[in-house]
Amino acid sequence: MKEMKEGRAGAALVTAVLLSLAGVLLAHGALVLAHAELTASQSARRSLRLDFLSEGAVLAAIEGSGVRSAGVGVVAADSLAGSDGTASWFGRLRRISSEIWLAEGRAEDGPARRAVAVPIWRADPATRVDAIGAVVVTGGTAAINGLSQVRIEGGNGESEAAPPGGCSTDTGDERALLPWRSDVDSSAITLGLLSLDSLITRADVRLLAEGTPAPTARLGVCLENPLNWGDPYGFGTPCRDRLPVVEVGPGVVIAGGVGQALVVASGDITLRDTDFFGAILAEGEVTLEGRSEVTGLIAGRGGVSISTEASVAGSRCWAEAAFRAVPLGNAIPIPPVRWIRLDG
Amino acid sequence: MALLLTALLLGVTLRAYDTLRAAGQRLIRRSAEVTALRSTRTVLTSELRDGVAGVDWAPYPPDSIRLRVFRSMGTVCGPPTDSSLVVRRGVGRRPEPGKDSVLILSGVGAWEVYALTSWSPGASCQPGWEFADSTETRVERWTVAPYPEDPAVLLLFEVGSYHLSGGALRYRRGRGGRQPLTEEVLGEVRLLDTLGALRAALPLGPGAEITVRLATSPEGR
Repeated sequence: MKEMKEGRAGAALVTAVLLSLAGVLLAHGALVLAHAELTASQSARRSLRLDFLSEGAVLAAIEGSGVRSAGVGVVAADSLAGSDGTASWFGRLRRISSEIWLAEGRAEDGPARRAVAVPIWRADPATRVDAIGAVVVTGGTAAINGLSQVRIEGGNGESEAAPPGGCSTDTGDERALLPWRSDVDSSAITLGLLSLDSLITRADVRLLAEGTPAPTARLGVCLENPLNWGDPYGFGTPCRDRLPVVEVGPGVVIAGGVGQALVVASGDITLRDTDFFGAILAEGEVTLEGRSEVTGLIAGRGGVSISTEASVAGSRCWAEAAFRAVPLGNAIPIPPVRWIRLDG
Repeated sequence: MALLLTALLLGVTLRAYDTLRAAGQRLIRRSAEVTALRSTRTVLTSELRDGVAGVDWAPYPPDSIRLRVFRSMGTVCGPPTDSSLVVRRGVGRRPEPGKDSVLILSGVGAWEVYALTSWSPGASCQPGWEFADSTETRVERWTVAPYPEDPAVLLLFEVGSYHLSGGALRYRRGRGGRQPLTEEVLGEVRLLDTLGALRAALPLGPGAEITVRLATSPEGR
């Protein structure tokens, strides 16, 4: 009897041990699964963090692109960097061609790395002048009373005026601009990916009614007003370096005066007896009346009309100077915006 | 009495064993399911993020997405010669002419698609076209048709499609077969292209379903 009792107790013990063992194995399995889940979650968290940091670094590089410059194939010297806990990041710009850059963002957290890039576009003044390629570009009808009114001139033209900072050393002023082009698609009257509307939003000043531009200074300080278009002749004067981007409203007449600017007209524009240096881009027709003289280039989507006494002198130097005035702090991600993986 | 107790003990033991075995199987199935779900979400979000909705990929609910699958990127690092391009290619698989195409960003900021007609390794960049960080890149010679004007950035891609069918995430390259990328444990997955986003409704356990956002949908651009 005693042996039977001991036998049952032994069987129960063995069963209990086996069940406990199975329970432990099951619990261990659950623990392993939970641990795998935790590891995967941590890995996903790290991955999301690296995505966030690398993409943020790209945006930081684009945001800071206004102060950067580099030759083609050269990494812009001043990259942005930072850290967030155990992770570090940096953003930088690489110039791929004259106007295409890669805004790169890289992030690292231990062995994990992420590198992404977005192609961006920044206007290059020399490339833009090449793209326009003519003293007078018209998307409409060109009414020019004789070839002598449109001249191609090297350097600063025959004028004593010079743009702020002079001409670029690599401008290549000896390259001829065409006298005019009327065979262009109207979409060509832009600054590359910058449409006229985009340029208007970047204007320094707005002129919505007739006026006469003239350099204005007080106590040695050049004033900012819609009719102060700098001083192309005034070497050493306060307004020497002022070359604004000017939005001119539809139908506005510029009556006399002198100035240097990039004029972006949202409609027709008329210059009457005005001595102008730089570039004029217009949605409507550009009309030069009286003894107006323009040194640089003109592009009018509605056509260009030059009266008998007016003249245009083509100058790459002045056109580039005008395009350099466009604030390019906000470089343009090229549409459609593609995020490019650099790390496979 | 002894027999009764022994039978009772045996019954309890078998019942407990059966319960434990079922629990173990559920655990294994759940683990496989979760792994497949995670892989599906990771693969699709990653692939769709590389492209532009409505341009590089388009959903075909309830179970398919057709897309350009980007495999590598390169930049032009020398002036073009004999109608081929010298390309510095980053990490990623090597090009396969005839199967791959190239999306090229031109110097004036326009994307165009070209066919990759030939590829060869072992070219070298022209002086002045090098980038400082060239350790993870290879220089190769690519020929594309038609010949591009002023290429700047090159994205190598193949056309493929992802399918959520037969309980697994499957990838079909070109006109090939649908290769499973996960175990066939997913249940009936549905793609939902609504509210400006592409989502996947994923069954998780009996009667339960989770919805995950994969990308902004073409309508949500």
